Amino acid sequence: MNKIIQQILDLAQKKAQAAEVILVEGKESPVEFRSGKLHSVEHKEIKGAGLRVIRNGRIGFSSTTDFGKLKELVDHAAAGAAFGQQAAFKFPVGCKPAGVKTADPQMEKFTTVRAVAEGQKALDQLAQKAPALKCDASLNKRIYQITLANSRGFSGEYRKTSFSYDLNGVAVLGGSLLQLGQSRNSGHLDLATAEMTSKIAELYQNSKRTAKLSSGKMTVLFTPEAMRLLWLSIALGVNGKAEQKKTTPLLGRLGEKMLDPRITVSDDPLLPLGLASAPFDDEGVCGAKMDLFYKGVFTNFIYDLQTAGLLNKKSTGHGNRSFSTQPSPHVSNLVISGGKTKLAQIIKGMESGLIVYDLLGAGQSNIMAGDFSVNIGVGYQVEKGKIVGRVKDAMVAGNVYDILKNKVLEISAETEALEQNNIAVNTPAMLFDDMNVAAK
Amino acid sequence: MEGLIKKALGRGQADYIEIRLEDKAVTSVVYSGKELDSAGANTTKGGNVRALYKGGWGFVSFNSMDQLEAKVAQACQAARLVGKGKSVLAKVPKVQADIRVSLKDDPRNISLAQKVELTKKYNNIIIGSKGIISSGVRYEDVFKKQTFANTEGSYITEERVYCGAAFSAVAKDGANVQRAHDTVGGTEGYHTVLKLEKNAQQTVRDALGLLKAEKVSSGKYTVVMDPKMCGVFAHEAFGHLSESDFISENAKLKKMMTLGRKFGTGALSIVDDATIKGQRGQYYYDEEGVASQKNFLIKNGILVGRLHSRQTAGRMNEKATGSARAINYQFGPIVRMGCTYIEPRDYSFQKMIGEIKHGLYVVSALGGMTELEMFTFSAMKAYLIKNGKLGPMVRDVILTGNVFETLKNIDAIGDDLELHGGLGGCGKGGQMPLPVSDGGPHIRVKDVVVGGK
Repeated sequence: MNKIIQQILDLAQKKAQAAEVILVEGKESPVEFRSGKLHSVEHKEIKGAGLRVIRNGRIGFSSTTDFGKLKELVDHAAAGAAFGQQAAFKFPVGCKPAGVKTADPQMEKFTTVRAVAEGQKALDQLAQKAPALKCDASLNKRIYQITLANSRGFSGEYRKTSFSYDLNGVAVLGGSLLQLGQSRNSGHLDLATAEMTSKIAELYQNSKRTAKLSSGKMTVLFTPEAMRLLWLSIALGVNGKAEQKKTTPLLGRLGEKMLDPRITVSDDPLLPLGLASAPFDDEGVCGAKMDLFYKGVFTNFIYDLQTAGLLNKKSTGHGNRSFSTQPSPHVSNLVISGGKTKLAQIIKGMESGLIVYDLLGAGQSNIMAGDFSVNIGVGYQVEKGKIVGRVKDAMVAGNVYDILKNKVLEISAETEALEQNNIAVNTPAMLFDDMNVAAK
Repeated sequence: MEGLIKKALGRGQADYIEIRLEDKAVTSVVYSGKELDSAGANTTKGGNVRALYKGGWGFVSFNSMDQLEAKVAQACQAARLVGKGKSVLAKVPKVQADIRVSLKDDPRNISLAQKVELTKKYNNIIIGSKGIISSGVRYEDVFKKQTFANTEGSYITEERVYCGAAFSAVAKDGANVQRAHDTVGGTEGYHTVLKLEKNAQQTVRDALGLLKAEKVSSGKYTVVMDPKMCGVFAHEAFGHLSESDFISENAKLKKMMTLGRKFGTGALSIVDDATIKGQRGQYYYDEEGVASQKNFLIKNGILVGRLHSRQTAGRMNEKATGSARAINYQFGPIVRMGCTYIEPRDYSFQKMIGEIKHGLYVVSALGGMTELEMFTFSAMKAYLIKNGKLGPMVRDVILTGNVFETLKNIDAIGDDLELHGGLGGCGKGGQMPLPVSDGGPHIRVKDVVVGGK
């Protein structure tokens, strides 16, 4: 076992009946371009440990990045236990971690010099494909080593890589600001430069004409980017902590048909190189692919050890944390089943309506209840299967549970892996009927 | 350590290099509803190297202090990738300083049990009140020791201690749910958080009051802002426009912020002063080793200054203002405020209200948004003013406007002055929350657009 962890566990067991240590060591190398020019190159090294103890039946926690002060770490955790929650669990003895790929060897070889060159290439392409846009780019590679062990014998470690790549362009068009972007967040080195720049150029072309929109009910196609907003509510709703605190609208609804029968939502921590993939969760519980909604029927909440214990359930392997925080339930990779129709086909079949990409102001509504009322940042009007112009100053509103159950017309065959608010999703696009759209 | 730092700096190859090391301990106690959410302490040790080469910055941050020289080399290498122009830094004095905290009631000497007891007491006041369905009380103290050294020969050690508390209350009547909050914080010691029963009680009264309050009718009002809203206005609406990194990146803003331009009546002065002892936004040296100072932004109605890092000051041929700050060792410094306020004048609160036929008294801000000169702030609560008298409480008050027009419309500046820190802070460039203070006297503004029903 790791020497530092062994040392902390030994010290902790003199003060507490049980202990658990998470050690996180990482390197991040963000490269940033602003307004077409290289702005900064940084290197961040992170090394920190979190200690959780159970002392006289109560949980104590502390964290540190100062490895010269391990005794202090243990004292802090033990002191905190005097006021901590009653532990409703025992640390796991161990499980057999599944063989899941969490590190991309390509990432180790991807140097800062290469990142700078790739970013420059993207900006050069954008300058050619959409010269009116003022563009920013950022690339960040992260390589982490996560080690976890407890006093009951569990010990495990894995290497984890992730890569984020953002391109953004701004232009003043038709008297107002237009912001267009493309993002990639993945466990592997996803250098989709050509694809991303072409998409931004296409969005820009489509934005040149402004559509005349009047308020009313209409058909709206949510692209995978826009779908993230909906899955945010679902991720909060299935959280066992929200069940325990009785704040989720899914309370007591297990076994009920909550969504359209064409929708199956799974949580898969074993997705190869998924953004949130891991052989075991941050408490040493091994997770596996699990349906949260199967053909529309609500099938599972997600739990960590403490929340499961309080509800007399078993942890589903969703304990999530950084080294400096205590675990709480969090979805891993949300995977939503694709449909049968190609996206292009769905658009072609739209008599009239909207396509929305970027939605602003997601935090303003009651997300837990599923209510949303958001500005359309990037969206287009469609007539007879063709994009006729950009939609400005418009809002779309509704309730996630209502539209996913009652208003789904089409689900695209294609799915995209994306991230928002720390939630990794693999989602198709969906066409919704009868949506409330307000034009200003 | 000093020897190692100086040796590492000496080995670097760049136009300018600095090293900043940090030790931090945070103790917090959080109650939410009837339950104690968490109580405990965390420690952090970390550092960074920042290097400048031909105008480009390279930055490396770390937790382990081993191989400082290699980290200097890495930062210099990163700077060489970025640098394509000329390095310009405003000249500042070389500083040797060692600043230690000495407080009569240092929060580090108070036991965790006492802190839990205190937090629980405040929480009980809120959650034990009739009509309140949920509460939140947070206690926090932070001890930070920072060492700064650069290739110009400065070597500074500075200790800072922050201590504060935050309260929130949620009241419910049928489908009507209302929230109120308050926060207190500073650098004076543990007594900052003692005797705050009245703050907890006021938070309860505000939440319950909001249940009964009518929604405000939208329209133009003569508005009296309390010192908290005045502070948010000074910081959010105006202060950020004074940050020279924004100014140098935005041609439109640069034109708007021409020094010498008239911005308000001769009575209006706006100041950013990070030297005020006890304030949450106080510090001795910024994260570039430049001494904090009192900076006038508007003096007697005229724009006279702005906030700088050494680079923005150098590029604009102005003096450094000690405003380059970073939230922690994982970030390089950027231009920030310290304690931003409007200077008091001679108007009494009674006179200010007494002269209004139809207006609004807005108290404390929930939050806000700005986009260049446009601002939108939501008040926590407000009272109608009718014929010179304060009337009933109203809610959902949202103030919007153009900062320059609003500054011109300030027609009375109060004779009182209150500064606020609290547990929150300012966010910019991914760095949040930075400890700041803001405030002012009561001020009266004509023709403010208020959104509502």
